[in-house]
Amino acid sequence: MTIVSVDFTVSPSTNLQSFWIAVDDKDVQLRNNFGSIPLDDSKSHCLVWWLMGNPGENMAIQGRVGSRVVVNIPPSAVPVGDIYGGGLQSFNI
Amino acid sequence: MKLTTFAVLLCICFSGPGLAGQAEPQKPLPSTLLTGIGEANQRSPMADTEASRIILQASQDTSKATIKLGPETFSNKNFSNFTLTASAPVSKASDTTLMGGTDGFANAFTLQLSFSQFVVHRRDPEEIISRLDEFKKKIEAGAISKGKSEAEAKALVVGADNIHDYDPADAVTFRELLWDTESSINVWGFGLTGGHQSFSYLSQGSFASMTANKVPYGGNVYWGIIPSHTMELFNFSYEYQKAFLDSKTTAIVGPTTASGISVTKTGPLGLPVDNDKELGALEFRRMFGSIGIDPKVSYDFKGKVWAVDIPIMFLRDSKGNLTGGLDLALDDKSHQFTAGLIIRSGFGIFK
Repeated sequence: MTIVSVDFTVSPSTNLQSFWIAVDDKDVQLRNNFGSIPLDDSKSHCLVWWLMGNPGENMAIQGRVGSRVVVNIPPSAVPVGDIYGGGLQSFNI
Repeated sequence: MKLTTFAVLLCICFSGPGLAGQAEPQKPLPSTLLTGIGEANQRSPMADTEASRIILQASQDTSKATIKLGPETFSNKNFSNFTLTASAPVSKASDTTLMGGTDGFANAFTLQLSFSQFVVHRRDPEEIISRLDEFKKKIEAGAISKGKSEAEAKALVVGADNIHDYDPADAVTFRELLWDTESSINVWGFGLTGGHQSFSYLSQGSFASMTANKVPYGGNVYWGIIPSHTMELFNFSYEYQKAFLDSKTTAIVGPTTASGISVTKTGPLGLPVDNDKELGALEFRRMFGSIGIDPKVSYDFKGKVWAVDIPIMFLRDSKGNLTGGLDLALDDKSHQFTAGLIIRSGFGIFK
């Protein structure tokens, strides 16, 4: 087991009001759409994201270890008729 | 002119959630009459570079050029952002302040610091994580039943949008696993502005052209709430501007020379006058089916007049955004009721 730092970059759409991401039960502290979190490379993990905004506003997420992409989420959007969005995706390091 | 005060009140520009928060594309005609929540902080495609995670944006509309540092965003328990904006008038005719506009700084060089924060309640993700496979299978089944190939269905992410499209029976459950909708969403923020503006004017006594330097300043605060289990926004705001305007333009005939020629000068006569604004407003935003409404009650504490503005948005663009409708308005100074067409960049709870 090794603890490695996973770097997350999020790409919110222009008018997305607010967003958060977490891995397992730990929030990733984002500053200017970028944040890192230490993870155990011997386990599977789950990326969770929350979005708030008008319908259609969206955010893409990418997690990397160094230059290697370990999780890549295409733009995930706030559904029609809602202001709450979000989702989840498992990944391995 | 009564219309001026009326328009001033109509044009109270909330800097609310989307408000002072996320920016939106620059519009070529920044008419204050058409400005909605959040459009005070506009983002331009002209330049948008990211260096050291600090976002620098430059933009220009028909009246002002701006450079923004930020938004500097922080996503932890709450979501916050700071923006520092420097603005300068593009064509600075000293008396071209928009009639009826609330931007008393339209012709001034200004520096503005704005802050906004979202306070929401998210769920601990433990339970939704435990149901990841269940939602994944339901989305895949729904996608295949709607004609997606197996490969396409497997590639779909477990997200609220895909749940909405392919597993709508679980849409509410999915949302409730991510969000505590029993709690209200609060959004608040403030902005501080200071600047410099030079005025040219004609001296009342000496027939000379003079210059006066003024320091306009102001601030605004707002608080918005989306009550629990609703998708409607109530927004309260207050704004103060210490601003200045040219005095009334007048033509002055100078003394007649020995050769019998007299010179006439035209310009503002005397020092600039105060153009302070103190505006409070309550706004409500909600979708009713395919119609969006955005009634706003405003009060001008200086002029001691109120106004009501009720945009009703029902026309959509090719992408389905609500961009047009009717605007009904009434103020207690002119006691005039007006109705007209309105065009916006889009309507939603947050803009």
